Amino acid sequence: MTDSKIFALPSDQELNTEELSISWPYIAAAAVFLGKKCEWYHNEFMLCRYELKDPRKCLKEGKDVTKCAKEGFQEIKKHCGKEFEAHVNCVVDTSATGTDDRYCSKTRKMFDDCMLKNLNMERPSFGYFCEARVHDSPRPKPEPEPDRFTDRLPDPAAPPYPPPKYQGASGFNI
Amino acid sequence: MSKAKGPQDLPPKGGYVPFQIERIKLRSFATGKMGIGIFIAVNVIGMPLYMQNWRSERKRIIEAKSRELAAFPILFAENDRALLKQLKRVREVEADVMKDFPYWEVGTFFGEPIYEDVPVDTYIKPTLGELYVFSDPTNKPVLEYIHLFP
Repeated sequence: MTDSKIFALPSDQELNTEELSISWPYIAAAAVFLGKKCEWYHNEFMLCRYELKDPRKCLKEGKDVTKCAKEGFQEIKKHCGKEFEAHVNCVVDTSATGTDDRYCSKTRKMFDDCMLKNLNMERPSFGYFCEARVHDSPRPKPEPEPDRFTDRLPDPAAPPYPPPKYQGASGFNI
Repeated sequence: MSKAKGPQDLPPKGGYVPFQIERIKLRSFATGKMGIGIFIAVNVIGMPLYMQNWRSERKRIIEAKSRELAAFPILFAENDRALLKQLKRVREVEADVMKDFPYWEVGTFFGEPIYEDVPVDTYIKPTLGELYVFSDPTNKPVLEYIHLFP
């Protein structure tokens, strides 16, 4: 089923797109700006992925995300290339995973100033992407999965519970 | 039987030393009160330092998580496409490898599907072994999730 002939896989044309040819430290360093710039596309893609649980149905949204990220990187390279490069080099030199920028506040400040001046993009507030938010999607809500267990026991009673038959919890005081 | 010569062994003069039956206490370097005092002092000095460190560490954790959540859609979008491409490639290779084997159907065990109680054309996330089945085992990633620990 996962890989048999019945399982419809998308064509090469649907799959092939211009990928980001850039490594993880660069993505991590620019992530907050890209996340703010492409917030709608990111939310749409993640909601699609979470609701449908099928990567074949979210290819268009995924392509939008990659395209938006690519545009963002091109903008950064054009306007703040030097500052971005310096910041990423500092992060890579000082952290083990290439993401932690706690020893790079100076280059980070320079990068932020450049982004604010040239691209009018402010660094999102502290913990911005950890906050819960509601996304209004044009895609219709998927149908709930039909219940396949037809002979199961009935659901328990709903909250206004009936009075207990055998003294409830006090019935155990023997 | 020869007779023993000389005087027999006798107790020392003044008798034997009495048995030690009294308790010998260990040398104590701190009393109970002193121990409680040390405990309180360590906590009073250490807790503010700990809280200060914890506050900065928590700030760092939230910032790293925020950065990670902002970056995930970009990675997932590429990852999904790469996964589907790999599934296609594996299917082609399997069809090629098993073409001379009688009654073999690709992706099934002689026509018997892997999952029987899911509807046809349901996506089920393939395991790592399924994706790397026809490749060199040394190419299989050892630390799959290393990027999740910043």
